[in-house]
Amino acid sequence: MENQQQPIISLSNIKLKKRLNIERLHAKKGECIYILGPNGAGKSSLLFVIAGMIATDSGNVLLHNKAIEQWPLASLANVRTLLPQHTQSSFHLSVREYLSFYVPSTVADDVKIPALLEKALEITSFLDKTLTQLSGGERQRVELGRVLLQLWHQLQKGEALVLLDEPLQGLDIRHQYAVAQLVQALCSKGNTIIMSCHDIGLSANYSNTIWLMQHGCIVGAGKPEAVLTKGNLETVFECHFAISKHDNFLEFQVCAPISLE
Amino acid sequence: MNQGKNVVVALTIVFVLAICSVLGVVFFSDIEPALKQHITLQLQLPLVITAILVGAALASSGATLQVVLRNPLADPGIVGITSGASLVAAALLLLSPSWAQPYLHYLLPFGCFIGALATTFVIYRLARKFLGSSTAVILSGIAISTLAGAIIAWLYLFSDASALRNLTFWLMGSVYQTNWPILAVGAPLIIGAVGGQIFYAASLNKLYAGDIAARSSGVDVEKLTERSLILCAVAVGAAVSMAGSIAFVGLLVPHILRLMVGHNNRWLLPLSALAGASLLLLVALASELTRAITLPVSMVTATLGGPLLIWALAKGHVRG
Repeated sequence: MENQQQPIISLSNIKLKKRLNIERLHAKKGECIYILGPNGAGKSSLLFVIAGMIATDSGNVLLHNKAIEQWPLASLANVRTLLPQHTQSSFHLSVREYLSFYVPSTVADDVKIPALLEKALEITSFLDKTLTQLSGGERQRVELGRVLLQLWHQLQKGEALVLLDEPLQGLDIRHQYAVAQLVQALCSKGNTIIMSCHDIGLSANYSNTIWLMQHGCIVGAGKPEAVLTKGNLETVFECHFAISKHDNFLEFQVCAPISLE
Repeated sequence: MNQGKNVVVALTIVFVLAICSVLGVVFFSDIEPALKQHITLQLQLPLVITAILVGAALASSGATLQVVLRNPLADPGIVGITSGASLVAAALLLLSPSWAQPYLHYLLPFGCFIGALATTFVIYRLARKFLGSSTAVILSGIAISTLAGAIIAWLYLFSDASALRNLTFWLMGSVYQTNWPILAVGAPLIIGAVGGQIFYAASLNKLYAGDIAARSSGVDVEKLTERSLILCAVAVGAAVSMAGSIAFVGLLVPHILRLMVGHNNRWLLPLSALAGASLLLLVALASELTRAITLPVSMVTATLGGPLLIWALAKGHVRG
């Protein structure tokens, strides 16, 4: 199985100051990977390293078998896309305008939101509002739209690598699950998606791979049932967990934080 | 974009009418033909070209600076680029020895450019340091322009009367100071710099979502920032060397256009250039019509600019 498919992205011996220390990690085409870990575990740094946005102190990042630092920025933008946390703009841009700047080769100012995106994000109704008028969750949906539109032609071909840093933050529960489903649907087309998340239950049921992180290291990588064990979760999150399974659906109950006494 | 097309049409009409009127003031006067031709060629035409170039340079650079510094308040005057250029101009005018005076016309554009570039560099460093805090950049710009103003005031103390008159003209702005040789140096600089700004418009658009978003969508943010700032310094330096420091055009014109046509730099930058040029042509026309006194340009733009800007802000506030 390992030899059958070349990994889209592979990391070896990555070191980045005190933030990251990863020996070996890879993602295969079509994989849907959720990164879990407490605050400051290095989830964002890892996504930025994979995106080629920050240089590592040592180690190799290979994207499509080519070292990431050898990719010109413009060609990177055609194969991978990244959603950062916290974007803000002090200009009163309309959503339509804002999105049009990131859709490649639109000379016209008319942005069409593809049906698949619209179903999950529901942003068409506020295309004519300005960014500053949106609520936090609405803004996050627009950002997701922007990031996915940047690569839409690749996403349709199933060739894209999508990196999302806490895409669910600020979304109401319905849109959280709608986005998780969208991510799943995009992966089943052959796209590779890596995203960080704080919802363990959602991650377990909507991903096919979990990367569990702590102190800049990968504690476990693999299928959700294999990685999200009671022991693993309790060491990483310092909480007591109860795990149950109903109809193939994993359920996680946080009982109490483990105190340090 | 329907409104955008209307704005283009309206601006073009104003632009052409203003050129015709400035030239027409002399053409339809009852001066003898030979003199008329001489005035048109040696005075009116340089005046028209100066107004167009300076207005375009200031407005387009203002729009560019706003995007590059992520600050809707940026303007070559406010962030101190103009005053850096004026400072060097003042120093050259007041301190250069008498044998150097004949070459001053050619030295000034480069001096202004160096002054503009130096202040731009300082602003850029400060902007990087204070990234995220938009008020800090503006405040440091104000500090720089105040400092430059103070140094110019000190120079005042140590200069003679003829140099003083020269300088006052310079600091209040005037579109009457140019001739063909000055234009021959300044025009290519401004046309090149404004063209460069427009060339980067599509990349500048991506800066609206911040550094990370721009970089991940394929823009080399550092390079783009550096190049756009240099282009602004060239354009503003050349503009100051031709017409002194002119207030408000770089803030006012892009702001009002943002309300009318939106923020897409592919439209905004060329339209800012066109509107800035038209505005200064109108100022030149006003100056022509009140022949008795030469109006300092800054005075007129500030008189027009203050109320217009408040109106624009109030309108923008209601919308946003």
